[in-house]
Amino acid sequence: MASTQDILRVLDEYKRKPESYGMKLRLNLAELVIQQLKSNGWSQRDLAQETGLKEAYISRILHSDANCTFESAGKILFALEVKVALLPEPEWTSTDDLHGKEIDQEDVTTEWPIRRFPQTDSSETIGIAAAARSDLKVPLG
Amino acid sequence: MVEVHGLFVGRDFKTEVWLTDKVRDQLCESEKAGELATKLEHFAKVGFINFEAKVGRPIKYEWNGVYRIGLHASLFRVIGFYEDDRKTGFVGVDVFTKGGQKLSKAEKKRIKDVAKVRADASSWRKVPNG
Repeated sequence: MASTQDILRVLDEYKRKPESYGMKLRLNLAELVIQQLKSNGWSQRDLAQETGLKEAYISRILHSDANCTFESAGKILFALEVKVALLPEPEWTSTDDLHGKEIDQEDVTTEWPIRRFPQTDSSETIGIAAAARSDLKVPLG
Repeated sequence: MVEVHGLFVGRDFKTEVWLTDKVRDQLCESEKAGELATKLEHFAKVGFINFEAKVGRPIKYEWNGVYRIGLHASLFRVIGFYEDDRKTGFVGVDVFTKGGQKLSKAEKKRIKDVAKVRADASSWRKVPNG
């Protein structure tokens, strides 16, 4: 029977793999697009029409399942009037901090950075920084 | 009595996640366990409400207060409910791999069963450790 510790170990192991970095970007993109769709009052169908991308593909992006190209991401961000920049994530915290003392220190590697709101004037901020219309409030990173 | 265990709990999570043994087992046994857990953690940190809608979002409202979390294109789904109206805690009771576009009769029944658990607060309890 799997315990909470087992799942947290799986999570830590996954975060040591390169694919987890791609997943992080997909999650951030999905979050950004969802937030902006809400802000615009658009549906995924509206976005599909604006971008010329298939609605099913947009859906997979919103579910963080699509390994979308920069070109497709560009079309979406252009339609939503969101500019983004990739920035390093300098602040790392241990899983131990986030989950109490549930796993052995030896098993702890690193965890995604604590989430912050974009501070696009600083190089020490977030994974993807976004800037858009004044009504956009996107927690990233 | 349905027992749920804290997975993502504490101040870093806008929505705390509590899961039954069944959900924890299926999550761990999945080939995509790392990916699924990463998504679930992300939703928990950002807050489930940001990924929720009737259609087109990873967290879909079904009926009678029951929600379905889509964690992967493989149609892996966690079924559960929010602890209260503030939506600061999610209780994942059951899990299934969706067979197709529409829910089958058996899948609908499982959602109904989760709704029954939700309706009776004395039918489930949190287990702090484990």
